[in-house]
Amino acid sequence: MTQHIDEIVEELCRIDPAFFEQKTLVRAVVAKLIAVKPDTKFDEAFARRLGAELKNKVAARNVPVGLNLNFMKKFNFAFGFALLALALGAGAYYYANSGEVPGFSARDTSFGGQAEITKLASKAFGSLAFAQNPVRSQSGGGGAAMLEGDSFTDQSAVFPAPAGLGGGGAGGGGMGIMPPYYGYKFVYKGDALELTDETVQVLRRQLGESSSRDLKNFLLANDFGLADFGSFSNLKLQSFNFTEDRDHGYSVMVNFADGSIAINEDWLRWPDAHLNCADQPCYDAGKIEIGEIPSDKDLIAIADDFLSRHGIATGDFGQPSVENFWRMQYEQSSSQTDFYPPETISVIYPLRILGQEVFDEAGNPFGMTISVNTRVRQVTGLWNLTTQRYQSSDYAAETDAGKIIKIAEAGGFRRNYPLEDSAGAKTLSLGTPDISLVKIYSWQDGVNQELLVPALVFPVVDAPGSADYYSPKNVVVPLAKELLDESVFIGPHPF
Amino acid sequence: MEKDEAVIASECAEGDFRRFDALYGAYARKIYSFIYFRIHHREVAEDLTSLTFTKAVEHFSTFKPDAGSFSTWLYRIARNTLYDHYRVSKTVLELPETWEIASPERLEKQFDARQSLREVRKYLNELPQETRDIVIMRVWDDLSYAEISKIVGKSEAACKMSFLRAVQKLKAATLYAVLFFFFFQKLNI
Repeated sequence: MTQHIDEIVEELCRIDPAFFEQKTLVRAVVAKLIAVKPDTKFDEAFARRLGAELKNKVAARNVPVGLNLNFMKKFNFAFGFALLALALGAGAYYYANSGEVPGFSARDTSFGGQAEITKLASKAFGSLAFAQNPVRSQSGGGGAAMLEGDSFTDQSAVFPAPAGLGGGGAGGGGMGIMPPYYGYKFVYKGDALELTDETVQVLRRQLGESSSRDLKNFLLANDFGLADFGSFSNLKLQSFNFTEDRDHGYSVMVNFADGSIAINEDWLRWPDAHLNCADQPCYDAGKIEIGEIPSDKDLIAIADDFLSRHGIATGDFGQPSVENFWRMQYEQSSSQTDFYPPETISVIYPLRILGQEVFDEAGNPFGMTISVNTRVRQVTGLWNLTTQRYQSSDYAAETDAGKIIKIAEAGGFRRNYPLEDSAGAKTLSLGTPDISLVKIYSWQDGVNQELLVPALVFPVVDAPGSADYYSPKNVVVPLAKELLDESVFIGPHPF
Repeated sequence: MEKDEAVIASECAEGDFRRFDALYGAYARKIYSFIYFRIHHREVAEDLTSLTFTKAVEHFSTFKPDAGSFSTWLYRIARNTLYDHYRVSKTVLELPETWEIASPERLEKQFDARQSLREVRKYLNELPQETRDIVIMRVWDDLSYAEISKIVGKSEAACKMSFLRAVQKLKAATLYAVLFFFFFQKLNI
């Protein structure tokens, strides 16, 4: 304190040299002022409380628009998810020329709703023909669909499957695991094709981590006292997950790296009819009966209601349909009484972009999928709800209609169906195609690109409808020239 | 801390609040004391301190490192918050009759603590509010004239003169008190 007094006195003397003569008195005055400084009664507990409040304010302030993480503490899932979906579902439909690659950010993300497309230079996605197709493990749940890394190639590219096989809804029964083998012959019976466009616009869905500094700061401000998250550099948030704390609650996974949201039943809070079964009679006793399976109309109504309750926009999805491959299996089953109807059945909402529906390489509709538990008649999962931000790039188009038809009659660009020119082969007629989009995966430089390529989707118009075999719904031929190169074909193979 | 403080403040101004804790830790007591010295009410001081830091967090993007230090920016917020409180509560900055002294052992032996308090209170209350504020900032808040000038919005020279006049006045009063003391001591009254 003496130093403080001396300092002030010296300052005063410099301001007014006359103070030098009365330095002692000045010193006494200053000393008295300092001596009677009040005790502020500073409360450390108050300081800690305020510090904690400020921490929360900083965290709340740094949360991206529309993503109020505080709601998670209340587990108000319906309201909270509606906020999330509403905020994320607002998108703008526009074209912009940009040489840059916009990064993913929760601020301007469109999940479903209208697409955003940014145009890039021609052939910006590299070679479309060079595509490795790692097999994606099929599952009925969104959890499996959330596999990170390189597991998003449609399995149908290698082992084409009818809709529902291996996915949600496949049942079991006397027919065994593999459907019977039949050869096919395709014949085009549609209108003449005129292909005049020299280029086609290929779309690439944008992925990427959220590099939102706000979200990162929230995490750094809440290190839970266990580790110094600030010691890690260049942080990016890849995903987060929250669950409902209630019976029949859901678990929601938001994956920024993949640009998707998946919802699954929190299995810990959902009843399991076979939980305590230890023998076959127990399982048999709990088997759902064929008559208990909801109709397609009811299944779609259950799915629609779920989407509506949770504010999930469906504006850019086509008419939903039910994956009923299990019914074919039931019809073909050698013992229908022993057939186990599925406990979950999938409803697909086909994605529509630029007014065109999206198909997988096997010609099945591709889009948001919802699985419905047939026992309790509730939704148990939702997946393929993804960002709709794309980049576009022009590629040379195939204009030889004859070549296109030839490939279609060969079973499509992936030769999905086993061809057989024998008396036992089934002849299927292909109708006039629609221009749609086919989803392919292109593995380039260690990165899996999700591409949508304009394609002609030829419908099978006269499926025999026999209970002896399954009938493919469509045959797909993309319009990008380099995908029709002979060297790309995997070759015909038995199903 | 000063150099670090400038860096941390710049980060916060850009939205990176990772190290905001350090700023809060360095200024929580100072700002509280600053407010308490002028309001002499603990609960109100805590409320206004909370309000000050909240405003700082919410408006950090307006902090311009080129325009001044974080310290003066924060004190300015505190001062404005205090004056808003005066306007709303219609109170006047006037020191109370008495307050608890932080360090009573520092008082000179020849002066009774209560007497000293009365004197200081009397003479400080007689000063214009702004002058009183400057005195308290220099002596109790231990702020430099450069900082005081930025907080009150006056030149450094003007702040020094204000403080000088305040001390002159108190010096004169003290001189009279000392003379009076010795006079009556001599008279054995």
